[in-house]
Amino acid sequence: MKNTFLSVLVLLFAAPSFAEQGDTGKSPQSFFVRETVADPTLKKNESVFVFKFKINDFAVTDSIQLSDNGKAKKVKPDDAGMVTLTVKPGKHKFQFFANSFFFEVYTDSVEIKPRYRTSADVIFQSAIHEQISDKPVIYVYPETTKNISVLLDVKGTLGFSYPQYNGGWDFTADPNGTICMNGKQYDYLFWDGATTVNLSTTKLQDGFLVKKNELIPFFEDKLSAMGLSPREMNDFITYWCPRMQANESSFVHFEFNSGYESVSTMQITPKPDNLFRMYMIWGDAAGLQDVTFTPQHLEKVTRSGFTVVEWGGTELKNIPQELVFTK
Amino acid sequence: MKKLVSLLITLPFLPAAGFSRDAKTPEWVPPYTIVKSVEDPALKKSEAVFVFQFNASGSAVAAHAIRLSYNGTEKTVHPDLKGETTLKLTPGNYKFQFFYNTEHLEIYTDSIAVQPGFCTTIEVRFESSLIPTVAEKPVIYVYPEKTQQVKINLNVKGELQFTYPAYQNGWSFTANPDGTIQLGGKQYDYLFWDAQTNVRSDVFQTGFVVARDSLLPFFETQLAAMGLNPREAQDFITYWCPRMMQNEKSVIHFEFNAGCDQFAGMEITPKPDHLFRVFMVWADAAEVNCAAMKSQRIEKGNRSGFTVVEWGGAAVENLSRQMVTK
Repeated sequence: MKNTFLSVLVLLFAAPSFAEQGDTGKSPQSFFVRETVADPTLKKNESVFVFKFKINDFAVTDSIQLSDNGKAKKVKPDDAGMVTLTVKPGKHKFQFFANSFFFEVYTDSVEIKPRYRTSADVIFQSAIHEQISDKPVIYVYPETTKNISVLLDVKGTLGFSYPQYNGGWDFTADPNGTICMNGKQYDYLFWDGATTVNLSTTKLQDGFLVKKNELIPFFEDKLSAMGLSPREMNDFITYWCPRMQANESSFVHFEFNSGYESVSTMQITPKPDNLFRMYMIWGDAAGLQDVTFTPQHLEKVTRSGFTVVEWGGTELKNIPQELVFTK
Repeated sequence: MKKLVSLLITLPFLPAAGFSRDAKTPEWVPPYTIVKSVEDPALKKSEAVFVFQFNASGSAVAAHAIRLSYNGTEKTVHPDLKGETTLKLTPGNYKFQFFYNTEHLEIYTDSIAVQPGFCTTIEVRFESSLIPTVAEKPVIYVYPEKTQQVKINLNVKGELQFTYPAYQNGWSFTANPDGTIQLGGKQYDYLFWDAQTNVRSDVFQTGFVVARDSLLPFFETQLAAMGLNPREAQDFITYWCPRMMQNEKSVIHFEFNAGCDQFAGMEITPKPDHLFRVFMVWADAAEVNCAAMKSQRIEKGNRSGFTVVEWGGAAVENLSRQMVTK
């Protein structure tokens, strides 16, 4: 609960401020006080919050992790998704966490008077963002010409593949990366697909904010640091930069190796000595000028022995910026 | 005037409902309007007069010759400063064609009747035949016979956008027979550029309609017929197919060599033994009436000696208004 909390402030009664911010990343309100009424049955040093937990219009009945002014506890909603919490009168800041598929909900300070009962709805917003994984390309460099099989498990729907993926790619690869399959020659394996990104667990803020005119030096620098070959860098830069140049600035986050597994996994036979996978998640940084990005650690390919390199990426569009980035 | 024959555009009286359904399409304006038809006492009963008011993009077409034909008779007219010209004919039915220049669509009319002694005024609006688009990902592969210095200059008809390596009044580099390029201490496999440019709206006079499932075999066959090597063909296919797959069917036209100069001229020093350029213009076939489209001849690149190969393309969108052919 401590680390997974996204530092998102959901302003009480402040839904209009979201709406005013235009089209990009409009966040639905997640915490909504319905009523506050005096309850004479309560003791003088008691107040009560009644939370109703919802996902869309459905009541949440699974356990919820709740924190009240920093004190964490687990609560179990009833069949209607309701939890009654007796507290001391005064100011309370809450955090609610259902599971990693939903954004955590943060509240501002909520004041409650003695012998009052406040009912509030807590609405969990999905953190799973559907997108197209664009152009993952796989380069295969064995030490000697050999037969190789690659099995791909896309966490979503495989779209276009070339050479065509028919339950697997079986081919002969040369040390220079040339692939022979069904009598034809290829330089890489290509696929795309519809996949998802979990915006609550992906730390997009561990990354970079890159201005349009700095894209090329940025990628030359970072991709060299990752150990990509000139050929791989060329393909990456000429694929992404023309699109990224449409934005004044872009946010860029890289997932490496195990971080790639939420998009797809790969089974290569025989097993390569080194497998390097890199997935770039990026989007328009308009509206993120005040966000501080922490430059992330970049992993590096080891190019000894039988090496396989894959890069791919996705452009995030229409994400709830307020829920994803902390200012 | 021979050009007239091949340039067919929709008639104003064809059902406009089909056009207005697409919200993205600008409001459709017919290319000509009969402004008025009035009896002129100065005319004999055996005479009738047409007054044409020509304009293009909202301005009168003045001081420009217009090629005109009525019922197959061709004539060049010179509109006055208001863009007007008068044509005296005998009463009857007339079908007109108007041609301004290659940057504007030719206009065909239905049969228009003029009564004896009447003067009919017709406003004729020439519409640009150029559709703004992005010339995407032209990549240039350079294969000299031996390692040598090469300089390439582009003359882009439009605005150059992204280039890689950076285009600075040209690319000057060292090229190797395997196609690798050394420029500014870095290694590249090709030269990349894209640009904001225009495509002629009558581009799909010839070409192919290809169903989604047939895209791969289609390109494998055609690109091999053009003489692209596996590397070039794969780069082409993996760039375009994922997007074209979104259409049930795509309409495809290739421009070769000199035909690519409409997007960008290319000057290479020293002159290569063979330069092969192919540029694909494509669109969602649902947006184009391709019934009259003829299949096109595929050109083939010669790869002997110092060879330079370029491929690029452009997706054309929102062209239903202009692209319907009879």
